[in-house]
Amino acid sequence: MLEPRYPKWIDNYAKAFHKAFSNMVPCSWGPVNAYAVFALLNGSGMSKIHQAIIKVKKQGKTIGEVAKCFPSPSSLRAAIYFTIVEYQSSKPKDKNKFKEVLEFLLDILRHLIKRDLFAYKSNIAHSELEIGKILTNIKWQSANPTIARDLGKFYNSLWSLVFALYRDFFPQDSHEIFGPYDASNKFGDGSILLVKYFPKIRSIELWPEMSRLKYSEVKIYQVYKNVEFSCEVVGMHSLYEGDLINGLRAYSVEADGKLVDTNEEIKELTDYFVQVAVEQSSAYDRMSKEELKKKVLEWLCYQYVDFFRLAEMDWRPTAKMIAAVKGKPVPDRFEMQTVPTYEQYVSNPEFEIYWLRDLYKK
Amino acid sequence: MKAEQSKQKLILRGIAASAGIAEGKVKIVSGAKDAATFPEGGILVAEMTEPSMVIMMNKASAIVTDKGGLTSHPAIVSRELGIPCVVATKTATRDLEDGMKIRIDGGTGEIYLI
Repeated sequence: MLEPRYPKWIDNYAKAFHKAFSNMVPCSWGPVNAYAVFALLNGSGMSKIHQAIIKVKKQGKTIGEVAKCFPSPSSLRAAIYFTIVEYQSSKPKDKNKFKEVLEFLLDILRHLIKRDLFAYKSNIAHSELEIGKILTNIKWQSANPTIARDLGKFYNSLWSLVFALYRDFFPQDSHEIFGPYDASNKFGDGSILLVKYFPKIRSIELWPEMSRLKYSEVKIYQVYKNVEFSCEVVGMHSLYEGDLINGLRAYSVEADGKLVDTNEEIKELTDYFVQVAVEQSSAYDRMSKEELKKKVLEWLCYQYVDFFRLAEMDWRPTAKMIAAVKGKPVPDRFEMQTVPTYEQYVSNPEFEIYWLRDLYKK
Repeated sequence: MKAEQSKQKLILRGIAASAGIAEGKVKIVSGAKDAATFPEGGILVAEMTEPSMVIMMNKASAIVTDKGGLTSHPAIVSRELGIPCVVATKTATRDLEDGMKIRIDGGTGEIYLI
């Protein structure tokens, strides 16, 4: 009996996500089991996105205009994943609407990403021309091991802040790594450029107290020699071969587009972001289970915040979404101690690939 | 070298998450409350790291966790910091004690008592 036909991209998606999950520990993710929250939505989350899609299509918005609403392609990959997870548990399944949403999101991702669509090992969102301009126009600073370590602490301070704001299921919305790009033209053979990008850190809509945060976004440009970079599904799931401390050749840091040009300033910013991260981390201790469930819905919608604005819609979860999860028990953690084999992952209805193939089954 | 190595006892193994070798004293932590007593260069040991531990992670000479994978938080951060890291030891917080002097090989995932 022949296997039902489905688009080739589903196999590429499955391979990338399975590889990524093999190096993750989903059972440790918090502050609540977001999968259980998605499972309660029954299409109400997808409907909100669908409504926005209809609106922007009616408005005649181009794919380029829509793509600008997603500063982190990795966030879009996660959004696609969460949509499939919602489809998995929806009853009944509105196949046409889910498919329309998925195809729209995929079109945006295809617009943003030049190759390796699901980041099997790289996250390439810049053309060679764009990279040439970055290498030429950025104000590069020479690196040394001390600066490399200070930049590591700076990166950690931002990573911690993002983790505190978005927690385990949604950090890719504010933490992206683009690359690796070839930097050999400017920095010699074996040089690579990585762009570490932290958009949406002043997430006032999610956390009103973030209105006091000095910056909305930070970019760290780093050129390494004799270092190899790869990532898995999301750019921030970075893997390296080589010595990052001695291999760093040049760097540049921008906060809201403004150059941070001394090491002292980088250290000051590190201390600043550390302080905010530690304070923000304690927010979850004060939240009830109902508040945590609502926060998951807010994070889910916030992935599309600029897209909803473009569609002239309120970005916040709808009353239907909130009602779908209100009062329903949700475990603190996702119970999966070991990752399934690839064959199990793609064929078992317990996982989303089975349902993704189901959605496209002719 | 052989005589030195024979003094070291292999006590724990996990996933090699960030290459490098570090020696130091264990400090088991569970949250931000431990930041005040975490020493510069200490070896951070936790069930799993979280954002509230950022101050300690920036001071640590190495990180060891019970849980985690190659792209978990402690692994990613350790690589950026350029310090050794071993994750998924399962029992680090149980088998190690504060003040224990250990040697971590982040390239092999092995932890020795010294």
